[in-house]
Amino acid sequence: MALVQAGDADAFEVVYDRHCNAAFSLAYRMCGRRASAQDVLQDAFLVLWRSSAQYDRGRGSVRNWILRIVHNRAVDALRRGQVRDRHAFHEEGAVERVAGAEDTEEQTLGQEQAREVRGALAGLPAEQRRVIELAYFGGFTHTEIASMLQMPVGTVKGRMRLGLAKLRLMLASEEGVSP
Amino acid sequence: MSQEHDSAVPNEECCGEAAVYLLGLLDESHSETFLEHARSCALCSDDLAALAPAVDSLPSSVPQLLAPPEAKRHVMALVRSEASLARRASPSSAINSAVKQRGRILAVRRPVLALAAAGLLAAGVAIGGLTIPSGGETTRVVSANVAPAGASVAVHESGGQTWLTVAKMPKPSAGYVYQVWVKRPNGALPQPTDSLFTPTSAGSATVAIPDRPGVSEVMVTQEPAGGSRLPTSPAIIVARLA
Repeated sequence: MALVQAGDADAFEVVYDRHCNAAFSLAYRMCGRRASAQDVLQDAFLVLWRSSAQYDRGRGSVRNWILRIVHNRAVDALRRGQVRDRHAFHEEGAVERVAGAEDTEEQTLGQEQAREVRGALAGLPAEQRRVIELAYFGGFTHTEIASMLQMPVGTVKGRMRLGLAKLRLMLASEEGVSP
Repeated sequence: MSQEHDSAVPNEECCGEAAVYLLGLLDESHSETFLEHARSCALCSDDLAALAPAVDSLPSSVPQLLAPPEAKRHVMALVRSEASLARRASPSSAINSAVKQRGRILAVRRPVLALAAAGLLAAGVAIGGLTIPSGGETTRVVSANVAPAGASVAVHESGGQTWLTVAKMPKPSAGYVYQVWVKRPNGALPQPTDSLFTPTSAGSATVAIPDRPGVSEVMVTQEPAGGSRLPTSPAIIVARLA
């Protein structure tokens, strides 16, 4: 990242290649349309390039930083109404998967981690999982979720907190790490 | 959210606020307010540290797809052009050396390049010569007159669209934006476009140039917010296209 911060386009290309699939996958999951997801992907990586000086290694990995940018841009697009019906976000599944035959070791590890996270999410109480998914993947605010689910905002926030805490515990136990 | 408290005495108002922040539900000003609060609130700072890994794990639950190759072409074309511009606009590259460098580029590039006519702008105008690495895109080298000292401009094509990229541009005056105009060889007046922009704090911006076919010149003027039908100020960028 130091080279990217110095304006090295070749170094940026390496970062792009390493993280573009994860970034596109998240954008697609949120936007539900290939064209919108591609717009978000492009926009996010240009933000990354133009604000790379703001990256602070002490605050997390490059991957997490990129995915946070993608998430923010996708939420912006959702709230501007540039993408599909937000209420349908959880109904759609991805149709274009990374080809299994071309799996690298890194992808295999990624798939294993994906299974763990999906398993942990599935293990959450439904009401906690739902508020987390509506917020993170649907881009709905806590106020909107409270209105949709007809419950107090405080309850929504409490479920988010409990759900995330539980998710973290489950993932930590999968990794054999004490939380 | 302004109350401070000890983590042993949780504040009801705080409960869930870190989760809301981490899930990206707060706008910029509320995020700043929350982070300021979290610095002095043990419960919120503990929640931030504890819950962040869970939020960071969420993208991993998504089925993994291949990013479209055209996205990379688009991004890398812009990145390479901006990297090139930034190098040229860096304080170490004096205008004189930029002019010399442009002469060298003129000698080696294919004839997609055309020099801007001399005297397009008033005396004292800086010259922003430039070149765009190809990277698989259709690229063009243009020569442009750029009024703001140190600023530079590139025009290139990517994904069937022509783009204008500027670097080291000052912000327009308050209440004003920059507007892109196009001119055709037989046209007496520049034609307005909907491409209005304000550079980032670093002075960079990339905007589309609509209706590219037949355009021989791209101009940028400072106009009142919303743009104008006719230029109301002198052009600060004039880029003659090949």
